[in-house]
Amino acid sequence: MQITPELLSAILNIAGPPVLAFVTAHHAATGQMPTLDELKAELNSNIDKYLAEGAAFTAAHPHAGPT
Amino acid sequence: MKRICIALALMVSVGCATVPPLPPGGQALRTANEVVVALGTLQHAAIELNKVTDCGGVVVISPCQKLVSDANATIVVDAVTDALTTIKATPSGWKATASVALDRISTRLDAAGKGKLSAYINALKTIAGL
Repeated sequence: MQITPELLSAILNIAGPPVLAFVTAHHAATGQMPTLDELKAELNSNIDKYLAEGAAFTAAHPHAGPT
Repeated sequence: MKRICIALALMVSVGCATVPPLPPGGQALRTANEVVVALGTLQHAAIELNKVTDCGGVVVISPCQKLVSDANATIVVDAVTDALTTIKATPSGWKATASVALDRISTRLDAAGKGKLSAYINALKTIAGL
């Protein structure tokens, strides 16, 4: 499977919007930009999501090679 | 057509001007969030490509192999997990943390892993400004 510039562009389109979407959606809904606490909560939410994905992989592959 | 373009340009510029800026410190959190998403996307790619098996087409002439091996996926997951844990504790240190994670991943992946994941690693470098 070759990762082409088109695929990379698609990846960035997948990765970028969640961050931008939060700020824009918040502004559209409230008329204000998110506060520091709300930005921190969004950051922690994303971190927790990816930590959970990594933990699930590790649990399924307990002896999967060098770390 | 020219009038439409000018009207659109005015609408866009007015629209941009009415959006207030992020609070002080907000931009740093937003950038940290972008780096987190880039790290998470790299990890997600490694995990999903680990689920895909390549048997070389219709005629199988070599043993089937995962697009990203268990060992390579584990290297990415471990490095990203450490980086995310650090960024959660210290969001302002996102750049140094991302740099350490990238070095660790680039050093430990084998050639096949580097080949399959290079686009995602490069995307992370670009987003983190490394």
